[in-house]
Amino acid sequence: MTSCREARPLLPLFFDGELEARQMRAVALHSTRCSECEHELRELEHLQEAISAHVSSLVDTIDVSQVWAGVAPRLASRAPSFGERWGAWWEEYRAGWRVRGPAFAGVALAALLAVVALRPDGPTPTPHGKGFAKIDNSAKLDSMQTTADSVALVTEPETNTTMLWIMDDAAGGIEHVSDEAME
Amino acid sequence: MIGHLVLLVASLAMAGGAVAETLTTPEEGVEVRIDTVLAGNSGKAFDPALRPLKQPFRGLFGYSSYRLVQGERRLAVWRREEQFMLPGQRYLVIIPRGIQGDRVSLSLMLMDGSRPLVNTMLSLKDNGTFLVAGPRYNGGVLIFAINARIRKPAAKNLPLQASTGGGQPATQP
Repeated sequence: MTSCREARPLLPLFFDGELEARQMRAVALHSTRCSECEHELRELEHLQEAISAHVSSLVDTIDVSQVWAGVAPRLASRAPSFGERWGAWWEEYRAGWRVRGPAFAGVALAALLAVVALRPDGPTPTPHGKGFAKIDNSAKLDSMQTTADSVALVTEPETNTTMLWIMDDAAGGIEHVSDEAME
Repeated sequence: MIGHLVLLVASLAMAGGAVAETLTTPEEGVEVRIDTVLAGNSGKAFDPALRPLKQPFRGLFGYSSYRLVQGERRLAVWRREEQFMLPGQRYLVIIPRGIQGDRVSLSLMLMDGSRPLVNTMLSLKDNGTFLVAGPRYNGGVLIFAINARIRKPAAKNLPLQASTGGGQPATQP
């Protein structure tokens, strides 16, 4: 099992979801058994909440009500006529085409290469085959009772998938997280 | 006078909150799907049937192979118990409680023989998947992927059976 000495430096990374899956699981399991680490995680939560509340309160004090009133008259005074806009567009089109042609081809090629390169790791389809929509598996546990030795909740941030990991000695058939998890 | 007014407003707000918390249960139930996956480190195969779960598995587990060993899909009636038999003398009891916004409220109990290993109440995003993992089986670890989708009244022609408990043959997703 992971010791406090190993888990403690990883707690901030765990809190930010920046650990690898094995480490996430090991730290989560450790924190279910270690009151000090659990306490430190709660402290991190409180700190984040305090910072978030402070930033929000500062943002609320910014008065942006007069911004548009100042910008709109200047825009109106500088708006060109339709003829001017058409002439400017035509001049820009004629002058820029020789550069834009190859540039456009380059961008298209880069986009094609990116699609080909990223395809195997791209977003996965929904479980019911409705294309490539983003998966949202977010779940909220309202209550839990367990007779297992310990359980841990870990969430995968990309799809918000929550996993309940069960460790149990009595059943004799439940997986344990080994020290390898901290590698 | 002002005190009474404040009290009245507070009471109305609390009543509104209580109504908002109420679970609704439309006529149709919930389509529950349990996929049982055997994960291990022998080989590097990823079952193509589990493609929608590839990202969560990658992010949560460190195993090299994942194989779908059992899949079962059923229409669960509101507030009625559904039992899903699982490998290794285990079974999962699910009771759909109701809908809260875009979430399905479920009671979920994992039994190991006669012993309730975990008993939990959760709210899951409609068509979302919740994972329970840890039990050992055949040299690997079992992962139960629990998917719940609110069954809309319009979709009555799906080949599903409404059941009030007991096992049904496995249906591959």
